[in-house]
Amino acid sequence: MAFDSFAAFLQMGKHGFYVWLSYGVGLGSLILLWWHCCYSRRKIVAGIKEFEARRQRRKTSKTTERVL
Amino acid sequence: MFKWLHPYAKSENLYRLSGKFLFWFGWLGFIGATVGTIWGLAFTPADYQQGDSFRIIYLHVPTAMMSMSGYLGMAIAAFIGTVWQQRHADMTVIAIAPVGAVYTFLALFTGAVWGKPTWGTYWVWDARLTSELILLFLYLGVIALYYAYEDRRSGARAAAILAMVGVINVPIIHYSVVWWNSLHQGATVTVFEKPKMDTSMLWPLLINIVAFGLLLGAFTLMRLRNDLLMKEGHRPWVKQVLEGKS
Repeated sequence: MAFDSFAAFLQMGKHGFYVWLSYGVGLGSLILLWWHCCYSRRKIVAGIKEFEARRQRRKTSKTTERVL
Repeated sequence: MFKWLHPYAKSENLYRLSGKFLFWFGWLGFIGATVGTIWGLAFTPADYQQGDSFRIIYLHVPTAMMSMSGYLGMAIAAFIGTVWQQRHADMTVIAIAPVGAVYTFLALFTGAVWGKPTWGTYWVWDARLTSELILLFLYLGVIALYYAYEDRRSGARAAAILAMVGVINVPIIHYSVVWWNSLHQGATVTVFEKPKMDTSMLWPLLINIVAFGLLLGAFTLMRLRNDLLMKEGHRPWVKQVLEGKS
């Protein structure tokens, strides 16, 4: 460990602001990127399922029409 | 010679293979970046001249290196897509571009924040910084061109051409600190020379460089898989994959 205490670790020898700003923005950007990948996947999968459900509904409604 | 590659031109096979790679890239990248960053932040000695602000290197150098490697990868994919009309290569171009743009932004941002306590300024119009800024605009240009066309194939062609032309910027960034008198320091880690850094500081840097490369791959694969699902949503294999939950 290069620091004597946790407070010294946060302070980074008076450069705390610069170091933590860099790592904060870095972590935030990567999390945002990851979240966006997961979010688009969820949306795409939901879209596919909805399309499939509609196709299924149309199929069944057509067959009932024919029966009537 | 490349016959073994042919089955992967099928979207289903590509989707499944990229899923396997995604698992390893994602976890190894995540663990590596966590270990490298904590090591770099807490367990390396402070720099004799810069003090603790030097710890920004563990984010700055990996993102900067991978922003350039990512661009090279994107340009190679663009070349393959243009010459052999391989549409998965076109999809790879647009899968890499936003990830590379985020990496480039991070390299610029951390560089600016590091510059303030070290050089006394956030920004100078120096060769290294300016060429890296151009890299960001190239990435944004590729994304913008891709989405500028109603027809995705035309967009992919235009974006691929920009990606290929823009690759000239990568060696310019790399050699900018050699060719021009720059405020930016020279390369810290090179393949052939002895590194200009003590091993106690070097290890976490090398770990983070590899880890950020793996993460770049993981993000790209996630985006590629999303694109495959979107473009082929009506195909039977997608139904199988979604029902099989993978």
